[in-house]
Amino acid sequence: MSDARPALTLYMHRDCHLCVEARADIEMLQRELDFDLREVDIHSDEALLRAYCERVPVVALQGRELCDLHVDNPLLREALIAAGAARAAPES
Amino acid sequence: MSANRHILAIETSCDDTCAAVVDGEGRMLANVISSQHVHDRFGGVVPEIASRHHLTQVNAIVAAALERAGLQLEEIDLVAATQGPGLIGALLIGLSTGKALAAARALPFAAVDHLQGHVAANFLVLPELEPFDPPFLCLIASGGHTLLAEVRRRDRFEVLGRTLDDAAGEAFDKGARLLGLGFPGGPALERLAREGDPRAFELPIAGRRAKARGGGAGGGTPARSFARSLDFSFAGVKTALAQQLRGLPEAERERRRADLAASFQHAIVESLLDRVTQALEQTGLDRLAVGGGVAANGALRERLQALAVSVHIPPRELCTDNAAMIASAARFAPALEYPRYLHLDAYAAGEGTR
Repeated sequence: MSDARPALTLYMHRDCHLCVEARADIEMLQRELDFDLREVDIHSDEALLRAYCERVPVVALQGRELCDLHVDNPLLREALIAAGAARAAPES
Repeated sequence: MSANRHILAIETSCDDTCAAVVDGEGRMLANVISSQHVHDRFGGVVPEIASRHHLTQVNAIVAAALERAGLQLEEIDLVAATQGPGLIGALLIGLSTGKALAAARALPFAAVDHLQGHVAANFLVLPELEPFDPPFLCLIASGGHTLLAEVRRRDRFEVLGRTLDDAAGEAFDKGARLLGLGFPGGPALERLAREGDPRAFELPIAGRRAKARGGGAGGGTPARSFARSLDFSFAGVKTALAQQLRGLPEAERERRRADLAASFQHAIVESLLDRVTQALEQTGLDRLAVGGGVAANGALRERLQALAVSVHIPPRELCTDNAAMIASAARFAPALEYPRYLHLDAYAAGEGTR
C-alpha cells in the first residue's frame, strides 16, 4: 500500500447532468475516504472529446477507467480502498 | 405504392434503436432492432443514456437494415422516422438522422406518429400472417402507452380511451420490482405467475366496483364516470400489491410470491379485457388488433383469443418497438418533399390523431 492519496479523475462536460450527478456521488464518497479528485472537461482536448463524447461521466483511478455514464459506488469504494485510500477524518 | 418502391424507416422513441426497409406493398425486407440493456441496472430507462446509445448505434443499424434488404441508399424512394410521442432526446436522434439521409439525396420524408406505427404493424404483409385491414379496434399496451383506438382508415385512428396514470407494461415492471424480479420485469412476472393462483389475492380491477354499484348506468362521481369511460388506470392495483406485501410476514411473503404475481397479472389482464369488451360493444366492431410489448403476455393473449371476435396479434418483434411498423405507417402518411421537412421537430407527448 502506498502512502500517497489515490488520484481519481472525472472526465466530464459542463452541460451534462449525468456528470453533475457523478460529481455529487464522488463528493459523498470523499466524506468517507481520503482521495484526490481531478475534474477534466473533455472539451479541453480533441482526443478526449473523441474518446469520451457519448460516455461522460467517465471515472478513472490512477489512469485506469472504472466506470462510465454513472458512478458505480460499490465498485469505486472497493477500488479506492484497494488503492490505499484511508478513512477520511470525521468532520468536526 | 408499387412493390419496387422502397421505404427506409427509423424508430428511436425509447430505448430500442430500430431501422427497417419495407416495400411499397407492405412486405418487410429488413427489420433490425438493437435493444439497450444498459438500463437494466438502473431499474428503468435513463433518457440521457438512451439518447447517447441511439447516437452511437443509429448509423450502423441503418446500414445493417439496408444490407439485409440487399439495397443501397440510392435505391430508397422514401425515408420515414418516428416524430413522437416518446423520449424527446431519443426521438431527436432518429428524426434528425432520417431527415439528414433524405435531405442528402433530396428524397421525400414522412414523419410518423409512434402510435400510428403500432396500428400500422397490422398492415404489414408477412409470410405467416395475412395483413389485417380496417375497420378494427386496436389495443396498444406497452411500457409507455396504453390506449384503445378505433381504426376505420389506414392513415388515422380515433382514441377511445387511454391510461390516466401508469401504462400497463409500466405496471407490470413496477409490480415485478415490488416482487424483487428486477427490470424489465414483465416476462419474469409472467413466468412466476404461472406457478400461482390468480384468485389468491383480490386486487382491484379499475372501474369494476363503481360499475357494480350502478356506475355503468348513471351517476356523476369521478369513479362512476371513469367506470363508464374506456380509460384505464393501473396505479391502484400497484399500490394494492405494495400494501399486500407490507401486510404479510416476511416468510409468508416469500412463500406466496407466485400467488401475488398471478393475482397482480390477473387484475391487469382483466382490466384490459373489460375495456376491450366495452369498446367492442360500443363501436359495434367485431375485429380486434393488439400491439405493444404487453401483447406478448400469454395470459392476456389467451383471454383475448377467447373473445368471440377476429383477433390479430402480430409476431412479438412487431408488437414491441420496431421500425417496420413506422415504414408501414409511412405508406399511408403524407410525405413532404425536400426541403419542406427540414424544420420538423419531435414531440414528447400526445397521441397524433390527425
